[in-house]
Amino acid sequence: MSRYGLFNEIRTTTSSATFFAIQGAISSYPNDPLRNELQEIVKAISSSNNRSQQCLLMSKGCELTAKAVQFTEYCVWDYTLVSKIAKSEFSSWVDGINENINSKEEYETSNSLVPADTSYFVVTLAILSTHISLKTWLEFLELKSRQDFFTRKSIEQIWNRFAKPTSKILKNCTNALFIVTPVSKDHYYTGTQLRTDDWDYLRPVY
Amino acid sequence: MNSLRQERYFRIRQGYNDPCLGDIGGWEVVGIRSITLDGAIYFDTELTEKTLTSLSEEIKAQYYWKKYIFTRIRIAQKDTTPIEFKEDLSRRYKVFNQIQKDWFKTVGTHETDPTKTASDEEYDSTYDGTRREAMKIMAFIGIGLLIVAISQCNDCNNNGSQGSWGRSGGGYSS
Repeated sequence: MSRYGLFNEIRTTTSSATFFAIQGAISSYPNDPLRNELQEIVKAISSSNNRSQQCLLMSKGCELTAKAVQFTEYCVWDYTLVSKIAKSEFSSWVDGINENINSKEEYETSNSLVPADTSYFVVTLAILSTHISLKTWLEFLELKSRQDFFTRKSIEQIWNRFAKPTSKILKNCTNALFIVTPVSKDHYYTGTQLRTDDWDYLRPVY
Repeated sequence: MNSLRQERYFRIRQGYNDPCLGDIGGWEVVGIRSITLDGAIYFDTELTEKTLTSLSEEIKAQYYWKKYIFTRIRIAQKDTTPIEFKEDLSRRYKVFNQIQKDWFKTVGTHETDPTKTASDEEYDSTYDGTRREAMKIMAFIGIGLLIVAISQCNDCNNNGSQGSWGRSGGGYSS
């Protein structure tokens, strides 16, 4: 069994690697069927050692997240084509998120539903790959206009890039993480929280 | 608990204070889904185009700087009054798009660009970012050449060729 939402434990490769990650905050409510489904997917990815199965689950998760773009209000994506950085970035995302979900602080800082503010859960996808498919796609992303980086349409397109079960990127990646936080279904991040310094890197999506 | 898509318009009760946005009484919104919690109904709403376009630049700027998604509000039914109103969805989304562009001009340009080499260089001072720039330039030249080729081919078509350049739209497909 892998760590929560992670394909495997590989962090270093001898070949040149690239990295991509996207994180989106989706507005939610108690018993949100989308959140339930995504959390089942994360659980299944963690309990499988079968790469094809993990890829299928992850692409399903990305498809659902793409469909939820209407309710995605904050987002960030990042990547690098520099091998050394790719490896350390991937490790920092995986370790950072895992540290948070296992900490008491995370449980305490996330909230039960606060009706006075919009409540969110956060979906994160991170990929480390030595395969040309990710590199080629990232080179395509570089041509996007800066103004369009965080439009709803762009975010939907990015999630959809991984939504196809036949996606070469997922199939050939070295390692990948797909995770929903807070892990506890009764907990949420509030809008006020997502605008604090801890989440300063998130950008508004309109 | 339910989540029904709403297409109903409301006016937010006068004097209502949103915990983040402050006094938003009088703003008009359209409910996009409803949530029932402990017997009370809440709406996830979007501001109408009419309200968005009437907000002062000063108010909008306040929200921009703090990265507020002020176009979306979760509000209790008791704080709203149903109104008879209809507006075009695509026009509203056009305004949202403009807000995103304004946000980018005001705040976004100061934030790290995911495609920029600056952060890469911080990690690795030997990293050469000129390759990326060169690639972008090459891509634009390529697009230019393609347009020239298409227009020349269309000229051929006018001369009786059966080619179909420029007829059907192509698109990036994943």
